[in-house]
Amino acid sequence: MNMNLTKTITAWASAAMLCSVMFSTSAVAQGTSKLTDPEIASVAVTANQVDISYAEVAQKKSKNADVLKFAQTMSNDHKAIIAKAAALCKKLGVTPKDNSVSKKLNSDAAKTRKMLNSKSGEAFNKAYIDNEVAYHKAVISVVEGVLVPQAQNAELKQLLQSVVPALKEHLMHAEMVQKEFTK
Amino acid sequence: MATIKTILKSVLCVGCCAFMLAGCSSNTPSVPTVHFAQDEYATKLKASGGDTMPKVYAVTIALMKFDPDTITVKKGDTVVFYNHDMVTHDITEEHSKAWTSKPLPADASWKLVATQSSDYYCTIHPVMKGKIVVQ
Repeated sequence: MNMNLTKTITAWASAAMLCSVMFSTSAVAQGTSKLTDPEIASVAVTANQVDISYAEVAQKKSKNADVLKFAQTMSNDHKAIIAKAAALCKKLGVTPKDNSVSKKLNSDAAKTRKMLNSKSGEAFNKAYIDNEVAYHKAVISVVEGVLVPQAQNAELKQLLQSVVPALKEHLMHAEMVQKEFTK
Repeated sequence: MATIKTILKSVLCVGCCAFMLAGCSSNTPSVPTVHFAQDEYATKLKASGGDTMPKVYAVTIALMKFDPDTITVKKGDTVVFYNHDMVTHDITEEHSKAWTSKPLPADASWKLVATQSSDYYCTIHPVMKGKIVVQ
């Protein structure tokens, strides 16, 4: 997909990111390069940090009460998940290790933040919440399809599994807010 | 006379204890003193207008769900909510926000004395809903 096109056609931006995340993780899932537990921990922490960074943009730019409440929940919940992951890493003596998936998450996030920062008002609210819907779908797919199956340590696997219901609730919550901006 | 009474009391008491111990070891019916205590307790309960004590029920919050999501209780029963998730939740009456737990962090609990049937939800995660039915 032409990246210049996705930059100019904003409605495609989230879909492009979803595709790219899915593509990079499906390549991983096909066994070309299995992730180790330290790499899985890095992907998990990065995925949470990315959503916190989107929430920070929303908190600066939005005045919509539902968007702000959603962003606050994303910030709080993803920080709580990182704290749990960090505590488990410490307990297991695992140091999160940067890898192609976590790098891809970060580079895509930088582009998305740029896109979000270029908008304001209702257009921003819609772009933010559309991206939250797409991003949570992508992350759920990565966690269920790649991280959980590839995690070796039982406690890491269990933590990843226990995060899925929160991600699914976030997705449903985002879809509730999205209805306000889909007319 | 007072001394005799005291001695008698002591003998009775020792006797009771021995009888109770014997009851424990040989499975004989319970001693009269226990019956007296139970009767007194039952009389007090009847006098207070009810034949059952208020009960305490538990609702667990885990994996973004209230479990059980519907609980049936009697008026005056207590419902204790335990947050076993890693994120903060709250428990808030859904239609008029008549009552709320306020933010309930991970591993914290909050109790509510049920007075009327209520639909409730988590204002932080509005997908999460539950119901208290007061009979």
